[in-house]
Amino acid sequence: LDGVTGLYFSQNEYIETVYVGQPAGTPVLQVHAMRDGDTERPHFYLCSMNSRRRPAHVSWFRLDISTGVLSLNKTLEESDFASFYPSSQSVKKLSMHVMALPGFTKNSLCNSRSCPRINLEFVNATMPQCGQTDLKELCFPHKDTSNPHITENRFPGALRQLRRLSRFNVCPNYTISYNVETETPAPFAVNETTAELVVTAMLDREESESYRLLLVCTVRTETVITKVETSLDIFVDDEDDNAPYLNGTDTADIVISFNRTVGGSFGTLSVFDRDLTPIIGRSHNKYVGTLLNTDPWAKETFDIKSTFRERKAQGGIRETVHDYYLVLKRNLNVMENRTLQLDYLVNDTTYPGLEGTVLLHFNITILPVHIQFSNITHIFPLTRRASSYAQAGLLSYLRKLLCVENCQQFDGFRVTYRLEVPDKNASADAQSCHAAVRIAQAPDEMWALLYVNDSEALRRPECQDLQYLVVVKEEHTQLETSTQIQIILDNEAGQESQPLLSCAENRRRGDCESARGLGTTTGRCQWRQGYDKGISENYSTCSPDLRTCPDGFCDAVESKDASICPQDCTKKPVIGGHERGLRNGIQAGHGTCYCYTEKCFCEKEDIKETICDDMCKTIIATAL
Amino acid sequence: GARRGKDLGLGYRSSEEMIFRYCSGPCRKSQTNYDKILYNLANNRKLPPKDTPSQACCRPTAFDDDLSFLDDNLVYHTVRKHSARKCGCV
Repeated sequence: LDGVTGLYFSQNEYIETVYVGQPAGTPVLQVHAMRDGDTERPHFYLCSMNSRRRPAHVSWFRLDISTGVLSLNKTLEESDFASFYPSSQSVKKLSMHVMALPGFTKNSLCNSRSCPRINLEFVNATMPQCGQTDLKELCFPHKDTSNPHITENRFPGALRQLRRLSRFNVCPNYTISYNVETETPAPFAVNETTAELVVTAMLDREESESYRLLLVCTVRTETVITKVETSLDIFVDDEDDNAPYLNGTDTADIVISFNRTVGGSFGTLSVFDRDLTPIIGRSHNKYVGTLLNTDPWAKETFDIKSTFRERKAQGGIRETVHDYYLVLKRNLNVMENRTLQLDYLVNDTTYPGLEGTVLLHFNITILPVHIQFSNITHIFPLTRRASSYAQAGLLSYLRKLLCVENCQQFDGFRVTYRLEVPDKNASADAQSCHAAVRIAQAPDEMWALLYVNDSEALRRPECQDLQYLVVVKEEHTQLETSTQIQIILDNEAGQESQPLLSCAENRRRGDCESARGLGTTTGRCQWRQGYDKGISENYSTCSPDLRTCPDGFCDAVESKDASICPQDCTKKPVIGGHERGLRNGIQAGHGTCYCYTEKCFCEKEDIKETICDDMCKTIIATAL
Repeated sequence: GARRGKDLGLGYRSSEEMIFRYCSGPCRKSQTNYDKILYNLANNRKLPPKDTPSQACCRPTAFDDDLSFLDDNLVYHTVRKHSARKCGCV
C-alpha cells in the first residue's frame, strides 16, 4: 500500500533513572522510530512542544541524531540537583520530548506527529554499585508500563532497546544477553549484537491484534547463570486496508402501512469492514453514502441513516459493522400507495484500492391505510342502575373502547372520533336522552372511549332506545367513516339520585363494596386486596372498575375528573410508602392506598394477631 | 435519633439510616382567650360531647429537607415532610 505516513515512534513514553555523579558521555537510553522503507533513515532531535524557553536540564543531554541514543552532555553534579525548586524532594522529574524526521532540521519545535516524552527520574544519590544492584534492575526498568504499538503493513525493524544502557557498566564482569519467547510463532526477535527487540516481518492487524512476548534476560557471572523474565504486550495498529463487504443480502424489502410517522425507521442493511473505525479523530475508514435516486418525491420523503458498531469476527479480531436503514423525512399521507426502489452507494473513502464501494437497494412498498370499523353496528347493553354525579354529571357507567381497525398501530397521522345523533330532526326530549352518552379521546391516542355522561337521562322512561353514529375522521385527508352503536337499557328501576363519591376514598373492603362510586361500571365500587409485603404494585385499593383502575394508565375518561381514578391520575405528592408512576399516579404502594380527591395516602394497617408465646404453651402442657 | 428505613413503617426495605426529629410537650403557655373559653365550655359540658374542638397542640411548623435513599432493590426513593425542623403550638 502506498499511503505515505512517514516515521513514527512505537511507544509514546520512555523512562529511565539518572544519578548524581554520572559522568559526561554516559548513555541513558535509546529511542527508536519505525520506518516506512529500507532507504528511510530517521534523524532524531530533542524538541519542545511549545515555543516557550527550553528548560535548562535539556542542555545536560545529547541525542545522537542517527542512533537515537540519549547520553549525558555533562557530569551530573549535586549543584545540578539543588538547582531545582522546591529543593526538598529526593527525586526530581526531568522531562523532554523527542522527534524523528527523515532529514535534517534546525527547528527545535516538535513536529505535528506525536512526539514521545522522555521521563527521567533524577535521584540525589550516586548510582548503586554492582553489589547493591538487584539483577532485575540490571535487566529491565522496574516500572516500564508503555506498550509498543506497531502499525500494520509497515517495514520491519528495531522497535526497542532492551539493554539498560545507563546500567551497562555497573557490573563489568557480568554478561547480559536477551532473547524473546512466544507461545505461538510471532515475528519478533532480539538482535544479539545490539540487544534491540526487532519486528522481523510486516504485521497484519486482521490476523492478530496483539502479541504477548516473554522477554528473557540472562545474566552470566563467573559462577552462576541467572534468568530474569518479564512480559511485554505489543499492539498492532490498524489502517484501512480492507474493502467493505456484504454478508448475504444487499436488498431490504420494506412495507410501510400503519406507521407512517416522520422519523420512523425501516429495514436495516449491514455493510461489514474488517478494519476498525476510530471514534476519536476519524483518521481512517471514513464512509460516505450517496442516494442515487433523482426522483424529487423520494428525496423529500426518504433518507438513509447509518450507525456503526464494532464486533468480534471469527478469531476474535475486531471489525466494523455499518448499519444502514431507511428513515421517513415527513409524515406519509394515508392515501399514499406506491412502490419504489432506492439505491444507495456506500463508499469507504479512505480505502486505497479500487473496489471500496458497495451498492445497497431498498425496495419500498407503501400501502394505503383504510380507516374502517370491522363491525357495522355495535350493541352495548346498559343497566339503568345509575345515579348521577351532582356536580359534573359525569359517570363512566358504561365504558367501551372504540377503535377503527388496527388503530393501536397508527402513527404519523391522526383520527378523531365524534358522536352524532342519527335523526337530527328528533324531538327535544329525544335529543336530551342522547346526552346520556359521550365520547372521549386523549390527544395522543388513536382510540376513543364511550362513557355515560348524564345518568339522569338513563332513568327517564322515554329514553328507551339510544342510537348513535360514531364518525371517525382522518385529519389530513378529511376522510370519514362511521359505525352505528346502539345502547340497550335493561328495565331495572333507577334509584334516587344522590351525590356520588370517589370509590378511592374507601379504606376498607366492606365500605368499598357497598359504595356506589363515581365511574363504576357495575354500579358498585370494587375492592382489590393486596397480599404482598412492603411496597407492591398489587396494593389494596378501592376502584370503580378493576379492569381499568388502577392499571398505571390515566385514560381519557379517567382524566375527565380527578375523582374517578386518582390512583392512576393524581399529580399531587402521595403520603406514605409508595413509588410514583412514570407520568402520574401511584405505581406501587404500601398496604392500602386511598385518596381524598387528588390527595392520596398509602399505609399499612397493623392487624394485631394474638401471639402464642412460650408461656402459653407451658400452660397448655401443665393443664394436660 | 437515627432510625433504619424499615423502622419507619412506610414499607421501604433499606438499611439506610436517618435522623427523625419530632415535636412534643404541653401547650399551656401559648393559650389564647379562645383556648380558655373552649376549655371552660368543654369542662362545663356546654358543648356537645361528640363535637369538642381540639386544643392547641405541639406540632411541626417546618420540616427537614427531603431525604433520598437507595432501597435493597437499588431503587431510589425520596421522602418529603418526614421530620420536624421547628415546633410550635398550633
